[in-house]
Amino acid sequence: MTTTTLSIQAAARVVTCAVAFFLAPSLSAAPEDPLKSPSWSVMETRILEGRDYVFDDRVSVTVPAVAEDSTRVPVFASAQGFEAIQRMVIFVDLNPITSAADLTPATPMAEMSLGLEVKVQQATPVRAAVLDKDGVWHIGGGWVSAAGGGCTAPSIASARPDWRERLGQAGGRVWAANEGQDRRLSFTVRHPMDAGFVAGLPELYLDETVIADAGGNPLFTLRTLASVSEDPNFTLRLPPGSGDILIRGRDNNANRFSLRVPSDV
Amino acid sequence: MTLDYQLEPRQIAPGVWIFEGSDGDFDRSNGGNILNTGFIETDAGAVVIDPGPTQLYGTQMRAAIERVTDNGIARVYITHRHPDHVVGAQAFSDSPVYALPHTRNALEIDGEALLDGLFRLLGDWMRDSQAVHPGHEAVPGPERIGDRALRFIAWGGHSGQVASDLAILDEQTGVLFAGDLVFNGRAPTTPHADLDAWRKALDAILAMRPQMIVPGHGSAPTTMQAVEETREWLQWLETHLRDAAQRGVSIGEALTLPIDERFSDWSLARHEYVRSVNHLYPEYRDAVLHWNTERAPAP
Repeated sequence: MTTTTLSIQAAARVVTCAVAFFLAPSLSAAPEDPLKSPSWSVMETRILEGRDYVFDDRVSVTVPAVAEDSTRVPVFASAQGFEAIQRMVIFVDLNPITSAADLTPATPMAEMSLGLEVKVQQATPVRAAVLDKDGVWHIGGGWVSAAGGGCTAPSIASARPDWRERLGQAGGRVWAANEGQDRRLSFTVRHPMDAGFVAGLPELYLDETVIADAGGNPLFTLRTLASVSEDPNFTLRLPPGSGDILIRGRDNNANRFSLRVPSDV
Repeated sequence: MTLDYQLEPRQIAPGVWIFEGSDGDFDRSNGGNILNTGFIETDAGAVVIDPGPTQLYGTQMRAAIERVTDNGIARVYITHRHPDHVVGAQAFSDSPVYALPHTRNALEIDGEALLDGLFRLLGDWMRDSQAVHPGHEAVPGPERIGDRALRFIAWGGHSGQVASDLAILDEQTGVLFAGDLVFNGRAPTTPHADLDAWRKALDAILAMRPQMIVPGHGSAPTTMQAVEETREWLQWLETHLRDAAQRGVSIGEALTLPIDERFSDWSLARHEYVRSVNHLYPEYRDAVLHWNTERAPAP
């Protein structure tokens, strides 16, 4: 995708400090967006907080070319071969709610992955940015073509009389590491994830979820906004370990859910 | 430019005619002519089956039918709710239009919204097209229309769970208009599918052994082989996706899993597979999780 950036990086690792110093300003002079998003300059400040960034093939984002349902677009983000990733952010350039998920590991990881579904309001890039130990964002992404309206559509749940009873229902599972796949967690929470764009339906979305080990020690903090799809599922790589996983979350109205996911066999 | 579907009716059995569409997806070069439609001649008029995706298609189909028969149009049947089979009924508004209650109900709720998708995909081909609300209920069972004995069957599976998909058998020739229960060499679509019900319907068609089958999409007419192949795809799809869910594959990763080589020469296999992941995977994934409730809640 961005061979130029990659070769600069590769070069930066092997050349002297002086040359690296010489290259640094060219990084902050904004690499060209390979996805040619019309709103990239907004992403630089809104999502990337003005930090340096590179487009990096080690961050991959799998999305369908065309959204079958603009309220549920599957996204799988994976970052491999890093030193110590401090955060992974999933964002949708042309959504009214740009950020979808912000996953922070308690201990930085060399490899992270996050699968979820997002709403898209129109054809848009969907991206993952990971903040490595170097303090630079590394970014991957892909375009999704869509009929649109995903964010401004009411949730299906809001039309159901029983949505309040379902609120807080959650299910999860942990898979042990085996060949070709690291230890991972998948969990689904019943939640309308209403964006507040429909008259009479206020914003209601999960905003903070903490994933902890059996002893209650946090492994990840996951912050989410209403551009994540209704009844959200998150599938993510876990650090090596064993035992049950405890998940606690709350939405912006302070409704809480909790889930103990039994340890894998 | 004048848009023209160039519809040519083809007689596949005495008095049984079809209009064969392409095996592609909706686009502005084909105007949505991606399905198979047809009619059965009777001395009381033609029985039209699935009047097509647009007002223009319906108009041109009607003109083509009236070149073949002088008896006019007796009835129009819509096999199921999907708009490519429905919208052309506008051109037959002076004839009774029949559909199953499931279809009529779905069109009452979603008819307008379904048009939006077609306008976006087909542009000018959709000029003057409006939502269609069939005025008559199709009743399962045998029925004589003019000099022709027909049998109407309400199966489920493709566009709903129960009695959502109408098939029409011409008793004299043994031709079965199967609607979208049968695809031929073109990957099946699953937006409202219930795979269990669909496989049962295909088993029923296999047991019925019609002489000839008009599939909803793909090369027509065809034989029992297409019924078996449609069933194989559905079986593979469910097994493959449930297996992925058991392994903890995320929905985004599931999009890129390989497709069985049995289907490698099928039209739109990858395209429909990706759509089906969207339709089916969340339920399969949630079914393998441990829930904090008594049982996995229904989606």
